[in-house]
Amino acid sequence: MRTVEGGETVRGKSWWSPTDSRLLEAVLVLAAALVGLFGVLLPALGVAGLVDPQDTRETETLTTTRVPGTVTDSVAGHGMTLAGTHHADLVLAAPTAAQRLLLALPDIVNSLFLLLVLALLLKIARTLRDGDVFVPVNARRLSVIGLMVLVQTVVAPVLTALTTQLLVRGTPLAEQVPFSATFTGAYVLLAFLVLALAEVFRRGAKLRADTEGLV
Amino acid sequence: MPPEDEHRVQVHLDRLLAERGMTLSELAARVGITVVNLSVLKNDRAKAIRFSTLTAICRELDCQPGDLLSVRDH
Repeated sequence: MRTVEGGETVRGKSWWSPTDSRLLEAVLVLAAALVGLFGVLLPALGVAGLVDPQDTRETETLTTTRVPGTVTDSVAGHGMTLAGTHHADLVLAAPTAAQRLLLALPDIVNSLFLLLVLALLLKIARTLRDGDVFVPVNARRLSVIGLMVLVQTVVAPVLTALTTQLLVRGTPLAEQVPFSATFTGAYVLLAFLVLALAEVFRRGAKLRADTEGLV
Repeated sequence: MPPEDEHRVQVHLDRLLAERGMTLSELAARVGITVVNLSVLKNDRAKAIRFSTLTAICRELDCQPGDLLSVRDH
């Protein structure tokens, strides 16, 4: 928008067309469908035993889990060594329904979070149809997205660690697998960026409301 | 910001236009704002007016802001 003499405000041509809005909505719907299918439905069917269930969980261990020497011996002749990592795959040969649920639960919860974020983004994208995204409801939606990213940053690693502990509880592996949750600083930063954006929207909406009826 | 229901400003644009024999569209063209916006002002639906708009209207109608605006009693 630009202002001309006399206080009249005229709109410049926007590079964002209605087709772009529809395209954005279609992409978000597609993303939500994929997340729903691969993140929620298929894992849930796996828990129910209707499709091949998830049977592996990446975990941390106190020591290297392989028998020592199998990898390092093979490369010792080349003057290389392979330091043992503390990561391992916990594989359940024939998981019970409860174990299948524990294996799939973190992915399902993460996907549900993502679905909610996508749904809110879709609602924001739909306000673009009216050509007006600076409305209070979008500020609230962005706040919710920011808070959800923040909550998920904490919940996802804790849930994974908890379910891993429940899986190995009462087995000899329990001594090898510590309670370990890794938090990603980048997601915390992302959450604060989204919350800051929500505040920008809130103030933008307030400024817009102030200028309504301005001649 | 004070609540909007406290606004009691009245615009006397229609009277000034009648006294000067000028139409709304003519004034709009001279002032450089749209007839729609000027109509909003004339019909007391405006919530605010820019000093630049006020200056331009007063210049074209040869009046003072007090001639154009007043605050009505309760």
